[in-house]
Amino acid sequence: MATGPLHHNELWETLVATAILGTERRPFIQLSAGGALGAALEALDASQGERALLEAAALVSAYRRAGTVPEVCAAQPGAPESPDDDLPVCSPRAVAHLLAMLNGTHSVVLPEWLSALAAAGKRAPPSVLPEILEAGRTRSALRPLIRAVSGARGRWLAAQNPDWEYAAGAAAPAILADPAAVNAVWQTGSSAARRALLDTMRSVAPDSGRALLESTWADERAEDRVAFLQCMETGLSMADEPFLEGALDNRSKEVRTAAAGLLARLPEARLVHRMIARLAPLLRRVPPERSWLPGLMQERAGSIDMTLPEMCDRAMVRDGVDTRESDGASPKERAQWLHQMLRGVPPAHWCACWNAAPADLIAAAARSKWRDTILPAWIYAAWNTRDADWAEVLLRLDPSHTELLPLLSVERQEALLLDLLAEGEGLPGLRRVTGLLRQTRHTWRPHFARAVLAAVRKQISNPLLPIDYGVHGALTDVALRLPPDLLPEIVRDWRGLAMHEQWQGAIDRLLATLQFRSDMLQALRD
Amino acid sequence: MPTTLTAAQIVALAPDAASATAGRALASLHKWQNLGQNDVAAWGECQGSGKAPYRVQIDLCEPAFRCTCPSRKFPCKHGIGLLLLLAAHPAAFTAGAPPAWVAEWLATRDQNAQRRAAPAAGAGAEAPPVVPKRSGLPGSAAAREARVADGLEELDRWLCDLVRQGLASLQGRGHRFWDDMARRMIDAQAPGVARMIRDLPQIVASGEGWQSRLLERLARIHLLIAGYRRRSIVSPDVLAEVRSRLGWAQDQERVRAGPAVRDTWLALGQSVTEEEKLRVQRTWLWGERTGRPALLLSFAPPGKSLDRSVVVGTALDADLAFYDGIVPLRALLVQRHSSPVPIQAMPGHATIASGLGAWADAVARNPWLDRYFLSLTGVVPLLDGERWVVLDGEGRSVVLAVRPQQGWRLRAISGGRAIALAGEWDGTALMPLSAWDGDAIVCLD
Repeated sequence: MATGPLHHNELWETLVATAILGTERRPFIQLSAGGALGAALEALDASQGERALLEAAALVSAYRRAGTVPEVCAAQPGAPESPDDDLPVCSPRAVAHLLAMLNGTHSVVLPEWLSALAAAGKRAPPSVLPEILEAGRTRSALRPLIRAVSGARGRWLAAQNPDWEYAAGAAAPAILADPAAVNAVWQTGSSAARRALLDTMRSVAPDSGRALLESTWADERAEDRVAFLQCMETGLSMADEPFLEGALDNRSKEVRTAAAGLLARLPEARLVHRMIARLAPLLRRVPPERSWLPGLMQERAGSIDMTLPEMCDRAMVRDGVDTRESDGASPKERAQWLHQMLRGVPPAHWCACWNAAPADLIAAAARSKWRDTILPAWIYAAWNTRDADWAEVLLRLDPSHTELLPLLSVERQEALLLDLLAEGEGLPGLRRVTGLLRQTRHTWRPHFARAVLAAVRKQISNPLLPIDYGVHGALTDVALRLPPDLLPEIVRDWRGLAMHEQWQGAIDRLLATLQFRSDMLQALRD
Repeated sequence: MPTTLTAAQIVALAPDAASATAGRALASLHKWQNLGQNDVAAWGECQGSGKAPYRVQIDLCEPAFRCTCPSRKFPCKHGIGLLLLLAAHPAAFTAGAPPAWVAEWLATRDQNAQRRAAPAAGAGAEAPPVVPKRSGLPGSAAAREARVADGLEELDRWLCDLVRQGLASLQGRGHRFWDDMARRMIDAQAPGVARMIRDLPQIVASGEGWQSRLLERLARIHLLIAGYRRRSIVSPDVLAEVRSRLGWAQDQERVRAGPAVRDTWLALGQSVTEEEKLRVQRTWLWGERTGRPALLLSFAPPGKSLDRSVVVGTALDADLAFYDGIVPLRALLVQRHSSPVPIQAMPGHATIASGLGAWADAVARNPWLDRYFLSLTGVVPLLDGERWVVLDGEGRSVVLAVRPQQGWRLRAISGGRAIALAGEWDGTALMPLSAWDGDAIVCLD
């Protein structure tokens, strides 16, 4: 029994329905269609049901495959086209280096590649933008560098993928000229976009940035408030003090702590004055004993004595002092109050107050029985107020506080490290400064690089010394800081030096990394 | 001669991941001495664990490797390292006459190449022998024909049983059910059909609409059986197509000796897939004058490397010899007439309708065609809901078979504007292999 002429879709659906049930239950029926297809279908021998079904299916599916018509797309190109980029793209060789790093070869060099690309005034070609943006998704430290090299195309692309929002936008100072755009981002943007906007405003026009934050401060969520206060760090000045002082009344402890930390960086802040007033009766410098023996002067640097506070009042809590009991507390708890108050005073104040150099005061604190209360507070305060003089003396006392190193200029960092290296005579000196060496973030100047390598060689070439795994591990970071121009010299110096197999592997990797950096920087200059 | 290969392509030559990693570590100038190169080769000495350094050399034309190290991997890490070094630091290789140990090797390679080329040229002059390789074993060819014929009859009964009982019951079948029949086809010396059957359980498990897709595949197998039954009456092209699909290998020497098609062949895309422990590389070429696609295949078992002598993004003036078939696609590179040069623009169809028109033409003639080369010159890649599509100037679109990261790459390259891209079309989706970024080809791997 034949049916009427069918469209190929209906033909196919009929065949599929028959095949699903099986010709046993649903016998194959001769199909009719128009044209050549119909003629071919009619020629099939329907008496052999299964075979006829398979042959009809072969015919109709070939007909349909050959007749595939592209669908009319409902989606429109949608987003506007990307604006043009002004910066030139880097060379294919530079791209090859990037792809190698993204695939795991020398991936630690990636930050240097990104910053060198930005410094060369070039951008990454569009085809690698997804990989770069993806790298920034998981490694947030790379984000500022990524934004610098991804260009207009990168911002355009990132705006279309929520995972890459950090690079999407609005950060270009150009936006600041357009108050409507600023308002739009601030009112409706995501947390990340708003933070990026506030960051930019604080670096260009800090007061407008603060005003923007104040305009919505009352309605922000606590975690956003903390994040926005972190943005206030950029461009911080006394003009921000009234706002931050007000933030001390916030209900959230995290917000209060963040505000107090910022205020402690402003010597004229009311909070700092209140802390100084509280500490003045409690802290006393024991002057150095006068000695007629000049050599002993250092030994008699004096000391610092203190009286523990009796109670912790609400004003102190408001200023960021954390306490469990308000009075009748243990001496340990009371020392903790004092420690926290000391954190709130810029250390330079004590130099002025006692007319002494940082070195004298730190030596005095080190001799005090309150050493463990005072020194950690000063380390924090030196770091918080970015006080390079104090940081340097504190590092000389104890090089393990590596977080202080970035406060020093590059020149001072190298000078300090050279001193420490020399003090320890080879290995002990090297071991002492390993942590600080790993903390450097600049490309070392040649004379400093040579001194470090000489110390490493001295340690390695002594077969009697056990392998120092601290130094061994630090070589990975050393490879990132050595100036690549030194490569031929370094290869020459190391060739033929007998050493333990484990050192050999580490040195090979160091040279390979240095070679890679040298090639990479060359390719970025091309 | 500086190499045209990129670091990624060189690393892909490595037989396994360990060799690739070790090769990368060796691509450092301080490991090497006496680096040198000339027009055809590069060489160097690499200090290994032994006393004497290993002597490593590369014939850059192919590339081919030789090393004095005891590794049985090929190419070894030293070869990979040396080639990477050449790509990164061509200036570190002194140009000049090769040392004796390099010259000797190159001379033997030349002789071998000539010996290989000679019989092919001779065969081209006379009438090509029909089945040269099997001539020594009388009866074996006929025996295979009989075995295949018997096997296919059994397969056809099996197919008929499937549609008689209905496809609905097949979802409960385990792998054994399909494997048994595939193995019987191997025994029947029809490995091509065995592969088609091994693909079926994936179709059954492919989610909504699987019955339709399965019926299509079963019908195509049935059509192959029907084609083989009529082997005495079908045209030579159809017979060649049917026999290749069933699993007869066409003799390479015969293909090579057939008529050559000279053109400027543009290498526009390359894909590598894994099929039963074998890596299969498909390199798609496009003839500038002939306007036809060609497909170069390379197979590599584990531990062996694929043929990378044709680099995507380059054009080469060369002779190709096509395998027989209804729509000849697969080809052999018979002779190069010049060194490859970077291509200047991506050729292709201006609209999707025109591209699918070429596919329609090919699939109408060859119903077994499962993938075809498709190059589109004016399309915008975009995310349409969850899927990536390309949209042409007429508002038509096709779906892209891409991982999200590849979709984003295409989007980045386009900047929202129309671009050219090329890939494999399987009848429902386009798997993009390369795109034109305005200056050069970008491979999408």
